[in-house]
Amino acid sequence: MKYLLFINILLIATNCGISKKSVSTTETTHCIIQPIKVDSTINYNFKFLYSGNETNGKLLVKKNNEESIKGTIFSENGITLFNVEILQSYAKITYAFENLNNKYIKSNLEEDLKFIFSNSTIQQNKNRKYYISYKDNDFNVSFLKNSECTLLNTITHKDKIIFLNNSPKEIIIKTNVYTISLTQ
Amino acid sequence: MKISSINIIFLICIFHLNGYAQHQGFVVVKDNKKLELQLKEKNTNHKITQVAFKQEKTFTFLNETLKSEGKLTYSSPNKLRIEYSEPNKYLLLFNNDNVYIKDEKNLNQFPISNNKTFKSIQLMIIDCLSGNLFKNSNYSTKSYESSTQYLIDITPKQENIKKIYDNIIVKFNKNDLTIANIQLIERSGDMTIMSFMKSNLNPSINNEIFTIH
Repeated sequence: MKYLLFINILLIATNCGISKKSVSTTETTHCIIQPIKVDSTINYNFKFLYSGNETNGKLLVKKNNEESIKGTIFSENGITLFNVEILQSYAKITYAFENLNNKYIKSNLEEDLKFIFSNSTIQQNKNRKYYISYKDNDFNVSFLKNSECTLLNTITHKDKIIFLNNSPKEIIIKTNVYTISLTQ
Repeated sequence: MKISSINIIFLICIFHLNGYAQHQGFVVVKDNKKLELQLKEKNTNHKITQVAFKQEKTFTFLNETLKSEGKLTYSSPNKLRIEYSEPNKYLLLFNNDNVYIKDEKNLNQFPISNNKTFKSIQLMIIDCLSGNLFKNSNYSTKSYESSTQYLIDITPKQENIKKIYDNIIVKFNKNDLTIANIQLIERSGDMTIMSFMKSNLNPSINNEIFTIH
């Protein structure tokens, strides 16, 4: 009986260990997606939904030098909303239109644009719900993360997506802060 | 510290040169009242203006300029149709209380009251086209002239426009007071220039062009 109790305690302890290890593995899961290659100027239609307001416009992205690219987002009435510089390791919004000059928007947008154009992995962030989808002629792939950063569907660990024409026709990013839709 | 007369002359020269460099080829309008009356009269007589335009939007951050062109139709007091034909077809329509935006794929319609920025931009463009810029509480203005054009340098006073534009420069042709160009200088440093071709004043148009079915 004493041995059984010891075995039980050992099993519970082992299970906890496995459970903890499993969560840890999930948290380090990265979906690898080829960043959009910017050789010439890329022009996307841009839709930004934030706090119930929809803003439509364009995203222009251009190669700056070997290390960085620059982008400008402007509204359909021609007003510049954001200027952003994207390097391999970080993205920096250098200008934000006053109504959108919000630390939360800027930090999220920096992370998303870096993901699309530079870094090929989604950064884990427990405070952020995340959905992203890419559509092109040959594929339609989407994945969704909940607040615990669990990968919920579609592409699996270490899947790699390569865009045949460098940039997909549509990218949709939904977070708990905003929704961005980019279409060519 | 004693300010010598040489210093004062030097400062006056600097201010004068600054003003000169800002609007090269233009001097301050001597008879502002006359210009106001002329624009007011034109406004009364010309209820409809239709004009082709070329637009250049300069992105200083990208060192890139986007060129487009199209046709603008304005019907007094508040109908405005801006129809881009190159490089892409794109229609921006302000009809009383509604805004319509139509590109090659989508049509978007919303009440203008839902978007104060759109409302202010619509009013500002209409004021620029009509020349209703003086004694207007939304702007402060400075008027200049050359041998062929009037230039009005507009500083917006409305908070939502001040957030967007540092200033707006409108040029009118002196001979018929038709609009020559509008420069919209944004706080971001970017600039949009709409250059207008020969205006067609009071053309017969179908009012249907201000609606989308």
